[in-house]
Amino acid sequence: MSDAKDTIYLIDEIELRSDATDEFLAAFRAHYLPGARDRGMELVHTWITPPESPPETGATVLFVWALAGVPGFWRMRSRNAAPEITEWWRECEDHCVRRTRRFAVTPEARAGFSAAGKVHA
Amino acid sequence: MTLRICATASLPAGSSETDRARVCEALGRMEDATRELVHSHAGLHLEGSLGAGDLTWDFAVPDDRALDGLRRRLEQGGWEGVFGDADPADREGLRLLSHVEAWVIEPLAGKVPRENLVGIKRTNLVRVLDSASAVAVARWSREVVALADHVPAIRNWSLARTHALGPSKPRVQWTHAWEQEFETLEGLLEDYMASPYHWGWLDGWYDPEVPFCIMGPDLAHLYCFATRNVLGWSKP
Repeated sequence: MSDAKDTIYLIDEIELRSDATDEFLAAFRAHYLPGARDRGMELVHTWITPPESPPETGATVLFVWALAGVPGFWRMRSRNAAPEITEWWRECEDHCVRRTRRFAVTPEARAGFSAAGKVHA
Repeated sequence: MTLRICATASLPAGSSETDRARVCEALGRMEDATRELVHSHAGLHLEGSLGAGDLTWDFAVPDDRALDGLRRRLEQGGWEGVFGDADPADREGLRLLSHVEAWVIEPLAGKVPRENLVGIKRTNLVRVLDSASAVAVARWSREVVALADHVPAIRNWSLARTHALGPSKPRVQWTHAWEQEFETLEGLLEDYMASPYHWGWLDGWYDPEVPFCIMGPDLAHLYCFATRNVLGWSKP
């Protein structure tokens, strides 16, 4: 799926508190990843930057997920208003300073996505 | 200035298509029956609609005075009292309604270049969380109406604050109505849903997993075939 032209990438960027990386990743794998897979989210990358942090500075974790096009996006959205997901993000706040969730496409696919919103202009 | 009211109404589960159509037609004729109303239109929700009742009933009053009059009548006799103005056959049909919630539309922004368009009327009712900052709400308000620039199939649109009208206790205290008129159903179900401005940015305001989300989890996504134009009623 992640190589398909209509793939939508979901990028979670989570800036962690110092020394929270291992604990956070363990909690993520136990409490979020299985459900995310059930919602059609394919985890394609997990990046940690910087690899080693100075004292009292946390690392940032980047999760790159793939969704199966626009239908995959709305399938994910139709299933993510669940109490256990809200609870996960609450738990996440114990580990992180700030976070973002963004959506992205490849440069080659961008024009096609834009055109899909203008078919019946 | 004409004031619009957007209502949602429910019928008992299992109501026949005949009864559903009958109620809709009776509501549409309320502008002839009730002295306070100058426009009325009702449409049955199409499959895929969710979050509020079986039909959307849009109607309008000519001014604040008429609205006050309607409010007083609702306080005294509820919707049954207002529906008592209808002719006997319509009155009987309107007794089938099990629940009506009505919202006065307080316009914040709108564009109605196609005031004679009769196509699809879509109503999106949302509840902004009490915790949302005024800055965030103002930004969402600008960004949601910009969707019309990205999805040209949105021919007419209105963004408004909503205020409950009438005796019914609303299931959800909606704060805003984002309404659009489309020429075709595909404009809504395909273009609107496929626009990357929609799913790639705007939806974050509604997505409980996105940190800048400001909306409550309840949301009404209601659309119906229109038999007349609605958003043009309150065109300045």
